[in-house]
Amino acid sequence: MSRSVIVSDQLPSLTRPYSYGVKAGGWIFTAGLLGVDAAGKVVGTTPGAPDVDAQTRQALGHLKTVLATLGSSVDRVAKVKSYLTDFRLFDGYNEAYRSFLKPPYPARATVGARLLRPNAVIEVEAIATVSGSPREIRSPRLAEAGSPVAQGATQVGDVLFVTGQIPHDAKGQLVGRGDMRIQAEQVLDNVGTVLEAAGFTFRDVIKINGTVPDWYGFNRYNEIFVKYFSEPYEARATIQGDLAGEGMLLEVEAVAARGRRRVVESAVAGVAHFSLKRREDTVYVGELPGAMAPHSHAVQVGDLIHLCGEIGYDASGRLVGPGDIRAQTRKTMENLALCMGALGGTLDDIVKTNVSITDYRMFEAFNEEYARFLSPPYPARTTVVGGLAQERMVVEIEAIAVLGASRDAVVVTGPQR
Amino acid sequence: MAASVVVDPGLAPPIGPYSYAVRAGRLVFLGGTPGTTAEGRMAGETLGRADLAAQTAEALACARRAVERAGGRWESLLRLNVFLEDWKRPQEFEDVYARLVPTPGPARTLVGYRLAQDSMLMEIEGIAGVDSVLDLTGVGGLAGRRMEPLAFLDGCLPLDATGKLAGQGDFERQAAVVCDRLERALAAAGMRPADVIRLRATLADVRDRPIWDAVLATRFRSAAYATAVVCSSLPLEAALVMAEVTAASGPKRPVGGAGDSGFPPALEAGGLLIVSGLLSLDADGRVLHPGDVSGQTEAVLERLETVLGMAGLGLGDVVQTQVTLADFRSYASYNAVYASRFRPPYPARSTVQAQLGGPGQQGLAIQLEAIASPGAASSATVVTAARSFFQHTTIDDGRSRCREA
Repeated sequence: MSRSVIVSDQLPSLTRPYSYGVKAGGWIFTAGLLGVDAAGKVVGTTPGAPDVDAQTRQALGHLKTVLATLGSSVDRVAKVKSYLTDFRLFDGYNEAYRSFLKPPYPARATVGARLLRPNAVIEVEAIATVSGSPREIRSPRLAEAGSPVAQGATQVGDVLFVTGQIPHDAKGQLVGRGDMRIQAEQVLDNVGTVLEAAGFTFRDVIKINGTVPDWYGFNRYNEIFVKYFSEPYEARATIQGDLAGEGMLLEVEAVAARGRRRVVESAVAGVAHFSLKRREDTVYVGELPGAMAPHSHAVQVGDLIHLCGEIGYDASGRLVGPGDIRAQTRKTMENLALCMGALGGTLDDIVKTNVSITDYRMFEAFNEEYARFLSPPYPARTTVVGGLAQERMVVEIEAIAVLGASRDAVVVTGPQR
Repeated sequence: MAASVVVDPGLAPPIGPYSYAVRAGRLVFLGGTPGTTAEGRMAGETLGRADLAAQTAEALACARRAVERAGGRWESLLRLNVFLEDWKRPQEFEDVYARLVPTPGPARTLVGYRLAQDSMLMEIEGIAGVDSVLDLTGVGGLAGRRMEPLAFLDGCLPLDATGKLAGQGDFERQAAVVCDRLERALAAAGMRPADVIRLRATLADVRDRPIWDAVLATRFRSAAYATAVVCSSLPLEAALVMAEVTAASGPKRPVGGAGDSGFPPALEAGGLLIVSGLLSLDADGRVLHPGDVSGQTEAVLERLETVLGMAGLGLGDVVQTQVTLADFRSYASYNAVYASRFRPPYPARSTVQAQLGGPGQQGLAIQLEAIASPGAASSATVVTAARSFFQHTTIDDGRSRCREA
């Protein structure tokens, strides 16, 4: 990816193939930011225990720096995604968060995941606009959020970022304990309520992120999912992670965008792909694997592209190298390149990736293979340890791209070591 | 339970209804011991980071103290289960372990679990003997310890002859290698597959459960043993299965007929009653009280009492329990039910978080494994701390939090 690189000496030095922030197409995408100091050490003052307050403040301080360097600020943040190693730290995280971000809050989702840095308990990434302020979308049919988040969503122009929706009814009570079907219905009803409040519909959704604490209910989630969505499907990713409330089986975040859409699909009919007719708005790629759930490979609206959680499967539906991080990373990056090529872009137009690997011990090998497909300055990136939807899968990569970012993006990095 | 209670003010106040160690006959059962100091804080003085080395040193010191107070010998550790929160710095743990645990040491199983408190990086539990024990070092490539009639083997990973992972990405192959290694180790110790009394498996992926059950149906077929399966993180990259075995020579008697997956709910052997991992399932394998830890804890304790009753025992004879929760946020609810059934002094207990059951069994909240020793109710020696952070609490909204020190 190109163009102008700003090296900020206020940010920790970088040793992995990613940048802290990328500005392209009027948006700023940040990497997952950790509570580490300039020397790369995790901060904290509590004896013998990781300090969520200090780490959150430090990470959000980095967020401020990244946004300021790229000409934006925290009040222009539309969406935050945070990864917390332990929900027992959630209150502490929210308290520190409130001291940095003021209402109206960005849309947010917080997922319990394992982080790669020893002693790091919180990692925060954000999407912000370069100009204007996101508008909060609320609905009286949704429960008030207990956390500092936009109750329903934030809207920036024609793009809507829906806060992570949970299986709570309008009174804030958990519904369907132990029953994925009921919970999925409540969650998607809530997403629908938010979309409606902003004047959007399910057909405008371009990206869905689902988090499940386990895979027992995955098929049931998909079963309910297709009652709400129809082809051409959105790009989607589902990872295994903890959720904020005990008993929750699903959390769903959505991004919706109005405008003419182009979609990338495999030429192979995927799971829940019922339509046999070829659509005008869709590019069919023979080399891509058939989707294993109701989603497409990529959706483009304007110059913004959301790619699904891409995985190491080939067009014949075979997982290349079961359990093999190198083979799967290579195939995953090839699949992302196929998607980008179909839309007239390249991997260097990717501005942000979200990576899930199943095991810490695979991180170095993953980085080596990943970097071979990209040219510096690298996209912003967040990597967490999480379980994946198919057996023997060890890596999944989601991406956001902006067509033209390979030429005119502005990138913030730290001092290289 | 118990004839005598030893109170040791040097041990950390427990955060649940459990004791540190229980001696029954020639065995000492050690409960889950984290690296918490007597003041109830996590060991480690470094600013801003949880210290695995300090926690390991503290946990091993506490465990030793508890074992010795109960009348056991640290040198006679038979089995030690080590629970690590993650695999980021395993060497920090290994260095301290090598310093504080004599070699040759106990049969050891290392598993990755989520633990009870946010800054807790490790915990251990185990069994020790009161007199000398026999080492099984180097037999069949798998170390272990023996104290007649019992034999304990190391947690067995799918390794080939050179110590490398066998069958990457191939569960069936890995499961076969694990069974082969266990059979060889048993043979080298002069035992047969039919001597297995407990086989506990950890799978990396819950979706492999049906394959594992199928493999077990063809291997160790002659054995009726107690069993338990959890899904959690394994100490070797890309390993999909690990199994831990206890064996005993002499007669064995299944208790309670065929239970889950065709295995008996409990087995009488080696002078003990070994209880399989009990789950809240109905007769058709469907989850009872899905997602409800209180209801499920009631159900598994009810089942435990039934099984104990069939062997002529009661809850007071239980010396050690090993509990797996699906979510630590249900710790308080689980403790409340647990403490309403067991009476103090409580059995030694460990609690970890992992995934339970198999495909189609969504909503399992708890699995409980137990060991009972006939007569423990009247003759055991129990080691407890002087204070406890655990109090009986009423659960009002079903959304209780873990009680923290």
